[in-house]
Amino acid sequence: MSQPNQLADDSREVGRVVFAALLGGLAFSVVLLLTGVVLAVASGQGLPDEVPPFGELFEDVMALRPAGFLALGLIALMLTPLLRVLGTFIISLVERDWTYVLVTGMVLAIMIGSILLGKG
Amino acid sequence: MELKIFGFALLTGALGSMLGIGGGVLLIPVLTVMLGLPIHSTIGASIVGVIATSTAAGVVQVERGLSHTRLAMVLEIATTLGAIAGGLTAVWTPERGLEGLLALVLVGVVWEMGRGEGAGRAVGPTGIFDTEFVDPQTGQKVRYGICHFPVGMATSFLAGAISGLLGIGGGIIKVPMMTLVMGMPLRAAIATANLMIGVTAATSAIIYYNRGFVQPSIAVPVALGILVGAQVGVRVGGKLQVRWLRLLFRLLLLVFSIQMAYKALLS
Repeated sequence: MSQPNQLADDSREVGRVVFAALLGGLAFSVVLLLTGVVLAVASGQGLPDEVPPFGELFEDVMALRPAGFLALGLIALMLTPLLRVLGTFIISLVERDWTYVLVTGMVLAIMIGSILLGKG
Repeated sequence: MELKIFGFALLTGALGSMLGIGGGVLLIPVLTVMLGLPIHSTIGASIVGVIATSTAAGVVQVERGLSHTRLAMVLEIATTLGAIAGGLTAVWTPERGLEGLLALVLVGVVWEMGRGEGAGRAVGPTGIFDTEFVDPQTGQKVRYGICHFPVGMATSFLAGAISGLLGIGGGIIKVPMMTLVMGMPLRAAIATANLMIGVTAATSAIIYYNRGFVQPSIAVPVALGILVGAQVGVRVGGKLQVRWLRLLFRLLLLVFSIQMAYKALLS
């Protein structure tokens, strides 16, 4: 690199983590969504209009109720970008890249803030 | 109903990916106007679809080294803050307000698409965020940096707010911002904007989910339909005349913007 620059280039490691987070999250959520759709079609009730509350998700999945799988699939999809940011944060910590730790940490904090703000 | 939603999502996903646009901007008016679904639910469903397409495209773009993940992460500080502001505003805004705003944004998109792409001039290395990628078409290594960083941050906040408010990806704002203002090469700008879109959409999607605007009966067929459609679009896109597709897309958006404005003002 011609000039020293804290925020210049990516390390290989970060690229690999981002790739794995995106692919893993997407595959996981699509499997859950498809399972939910198959269960809903099999039960002949169509897809539910509402998602079950967080507390009942696990119970719904264990009971093979479609709503549980569908809600979990949607949550997994929504958390996939968060997973990518989290992965980058951890890699930056390991690589002692403090500028990037600060940047990814801020994005993480804002995203977690939206979880808390959304509840109101 | 779910099959109809899936079908429309598949079509808009295919059309969107052929044109390099997420498709949410067309999907929301289609579901609201043609199927009569409430706009808050279509926005909630669209934002989930936006995350799905951004993630699927991101897998390919990151592997090819097209996206500037560092720059994306810094600009995401601004887009996610914007997404929270937009998401919370959407929750409190009445249907007619959102419909009117969407009508305005649709007209903006129609105008923006008419200016053609690649109008920006890549500035080359600037010492700020310098990086490089291999252009898949020419096979050449392109080295570049960015300029006007503060303007980029401010525009990113605005793009995030509109994305959170209307459930669209907002690439239509981010890509021109990166090429025209920040001087990035078009390919890198598209791939970087795409990465930002996923994180931005996830931030407001979480707010929508908690408020019950993400209905599985709409959001699941939308997410799956857009995903399948985007794959179809990538495969057949090269064989079709993109110029005519663009024209068709703009015409559709114009028709829907008139219908949304009518809904907002008169119904």
